[in-house]
Amino acid sequence: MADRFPSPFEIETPPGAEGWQQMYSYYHVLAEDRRDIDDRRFWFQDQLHHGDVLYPYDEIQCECWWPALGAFNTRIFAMPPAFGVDQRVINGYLYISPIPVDDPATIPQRAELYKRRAGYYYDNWNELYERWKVKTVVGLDRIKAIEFAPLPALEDEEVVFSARGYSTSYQMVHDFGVLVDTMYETYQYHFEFLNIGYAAYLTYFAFCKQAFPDISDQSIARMVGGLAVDLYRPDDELKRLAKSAVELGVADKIVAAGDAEAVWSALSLDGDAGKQWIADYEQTSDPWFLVSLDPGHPGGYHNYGTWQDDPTVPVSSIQGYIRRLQAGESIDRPTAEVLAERDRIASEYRSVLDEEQQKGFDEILALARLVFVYIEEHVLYIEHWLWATFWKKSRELAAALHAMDVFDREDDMFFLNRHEVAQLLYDVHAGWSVGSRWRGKSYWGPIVEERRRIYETLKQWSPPPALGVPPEEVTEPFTVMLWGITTERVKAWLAADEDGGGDGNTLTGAAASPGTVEGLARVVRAVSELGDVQQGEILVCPATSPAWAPIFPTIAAVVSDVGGMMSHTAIVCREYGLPAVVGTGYACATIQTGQRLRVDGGSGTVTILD
Amino acid sequence: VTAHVLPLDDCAGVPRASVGGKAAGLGSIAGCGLPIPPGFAVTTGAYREAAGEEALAAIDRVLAAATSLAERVAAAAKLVEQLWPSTPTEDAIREAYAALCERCGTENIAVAIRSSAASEDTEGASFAGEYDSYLWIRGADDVLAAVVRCWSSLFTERALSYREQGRVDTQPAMAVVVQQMVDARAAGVLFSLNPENGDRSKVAIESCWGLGEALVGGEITPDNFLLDKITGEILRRRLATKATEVVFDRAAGRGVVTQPVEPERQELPSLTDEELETLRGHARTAERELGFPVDMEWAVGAGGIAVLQVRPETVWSRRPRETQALTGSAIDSIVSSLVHETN
Repeated sequence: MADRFPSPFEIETPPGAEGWQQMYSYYHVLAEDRRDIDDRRFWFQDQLHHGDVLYPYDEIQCECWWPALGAFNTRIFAMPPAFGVDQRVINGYLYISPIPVDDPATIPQRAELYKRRAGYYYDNWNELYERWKVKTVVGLDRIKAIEFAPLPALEDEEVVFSARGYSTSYQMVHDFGVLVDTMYETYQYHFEFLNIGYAAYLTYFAFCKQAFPDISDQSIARMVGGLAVDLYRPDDELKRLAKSAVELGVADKIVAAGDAEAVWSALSLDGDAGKQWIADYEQTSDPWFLVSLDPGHPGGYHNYGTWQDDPTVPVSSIQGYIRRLQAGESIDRPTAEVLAERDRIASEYRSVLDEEQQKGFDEILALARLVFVYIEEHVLYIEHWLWATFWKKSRELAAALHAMDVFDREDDMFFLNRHEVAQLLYDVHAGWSVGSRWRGKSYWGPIVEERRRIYETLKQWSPPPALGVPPEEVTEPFTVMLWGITTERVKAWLAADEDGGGDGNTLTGAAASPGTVEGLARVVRAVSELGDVQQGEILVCPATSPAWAPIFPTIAAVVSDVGGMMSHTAIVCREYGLPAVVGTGYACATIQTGQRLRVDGGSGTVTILD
Repeated sequence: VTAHVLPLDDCAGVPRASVGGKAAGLGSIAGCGLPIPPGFAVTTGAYREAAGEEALAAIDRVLAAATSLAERVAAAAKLVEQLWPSTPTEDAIREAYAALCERCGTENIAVAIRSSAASEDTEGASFAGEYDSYLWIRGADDVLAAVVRCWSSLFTERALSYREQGRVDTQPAMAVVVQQMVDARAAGVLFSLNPENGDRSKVAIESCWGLGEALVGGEITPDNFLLDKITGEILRRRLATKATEVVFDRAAGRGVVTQPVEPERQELPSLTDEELETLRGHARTAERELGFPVDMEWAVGAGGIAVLQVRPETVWSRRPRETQALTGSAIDSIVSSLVHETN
């Protein structure tokens, strides 16, 4: 078996995609002047967050987390062993590389700093987290307040009589700046708690491995999870609306109406009860249905709306819940049982320790539970609320520019990166202000057409999972925890690299949620395909996000391409008591809908039985 | 039923002087809610009643008069063999055996009959297959005869030499356990902790085909399973090649025989996952009810798993555990775990 992957510099550009580098920022691509460091590193494709080709505009998503994660690890908390995670865009796909501290001799000094700095956060966690929520929602409201509309031929009189003192085109330039800056700022907040949260969780994990040798990962996770956190609120709200529909006597109408639009028109004719239900739905919708439809990591790409934009998922879920209520079934998550089981497991593990160890266990378990709320909830606040709103406003801007004939097509703007959009807005600002003509599409039109072609070509390319020189042992905590990249996984990739896939009947991944089931596979790549899933099928998917929540009561097990013990899929499956194997790498490519599978969530294996 | 015959289920808490150590042990296992093979105890009172003051005095006289240990064994045995239960006790034993047959749904149910001495040194005398055990006994007459033979084991060479060393009572009495014979498909032992490292959050199970004698004696390599005591996950399975098994000697109609296992069964697990789960439950129950880590012998028969014996685990239970690195403050633990991860 080879001991390394191909060098990133050996990766060839697919024919027809030449010049793809100019779509992205110069600092984000491979270059000869950085070859000496980039060629020595281990790079893996960030399938978890960015499994698809990056639109030039969407590069901003990567740009936001790149320095944010880095600064909190490297410069703010002084994470003892780890610096940040570096990024390069290769053939339009994001590759990342965790950076260890440059001088191991500084680790003890960093450890002391970390104790003081992160210790302050652990000691004041809830208070600081409350402050975090407030400032995050302030950022959200700032973005929500922005409105992008085509520039008028003549300014409204309001501009005059309010003595505002600046033009609407300047406002557009200004607001785009606010949009980008606010997103940058809130994504910094995202990492304020995340890395130190993971560090605490990892320590708890290591404690359990030492105190209870051979304990499974999922038992460790089960002692912490199962909390009633906001992440589950969207699904809980759907259930509440289903119950309310039954109580108000509008349930039959909702089920019979069919699609969302028909539901609305049926209920608006229904009198008070129907109107009351619609009002309830609409009030609930903001913010709880700000749920990204992105099938991968939520918020990663501009072209996914939310349940607010497309009510197909929430309405069909409500209909499903109503049918189950009418059939006399319970639709509630077994929260109480899961919590009771969590506490039983924890207290029984605790009881086998001696008194001194019990104190250590109590402390680290309490801290793990404390930080875990953030680890779960931040996904809702940041990935769903902030990013979904950011993308919505970006689409609004793209539509306004299209309406002004700055672009031929409504999505043309996304083939410009954020620096280029800022330039373009100055171009439009100047042209519109002086009553002349901006260069706009006469300059960008051909570039956009070329990039569109390149984008489609790159979409057909399969990015290799890893490049460069892997470490002998993958020990960097975040690589293991967040991306599920372990020494074993790297070995499996190296083997697959040589024989082109290995044993075709068995896939292995992280044992994310216990239990064994057999059933028929349903391969689902996007939320829009969830309607095809039949009761009792095994969901095979790239990854899941909260937008997928309504599917969990229907399925028997989940197999995903990406993710580790802490992925959304793993967390939710443990909540629902469903077997899950995550991070298999090749499930969607290997398994076909209708094949019979055996999923063993205890050992992390998936067997194709047909 | 007179007080001289007691169902095993009722033996928990009954003084050893009355039902002996083995019956009292089985009774306390049953009292924990664990399944033991059904049966009954014939108390020490039945022996005293059968012997009577006069016979007991005669035995004492014979023992005092004999000049060698061998002579004493022979003389005492001769006297004891002539004993017979009193009529009410004989009727009670016949009734209890009939009730056992009815409970098991089999006429002339095969039973194991073992002595249960009041002063038994529990450490070695309670293994199945000892000199004072009679296996696969069928029919009330044979049961009665075996009960009397158990009485005579009060005067075995070993028992007498113990007595002469002053290690047991001078006025010994013998109770007898009559218990349904488990025709074991598989059998073995379990520990309510991991014997490799003392981790009390695990249950370790070893099992083999057939009866557990060879396994308990360390003569074969058994299948080995490690379960999470708390969640029930099967964390490890090491399957052994099980070339032989100890089973009922059907040809002889009594006793046991070691025979080869057919090749296709040698590599198969000797326990199902459901059986492992049941055993985990038994380990938890015994430990909870008795209040200390245990080891346990058990057998899988047609009627499921039967518990044969439970004892306190002694190796790890007495050893203080490593506490290093598990007792620091959370922040110290975090830093050392982060730094450790990279070293």
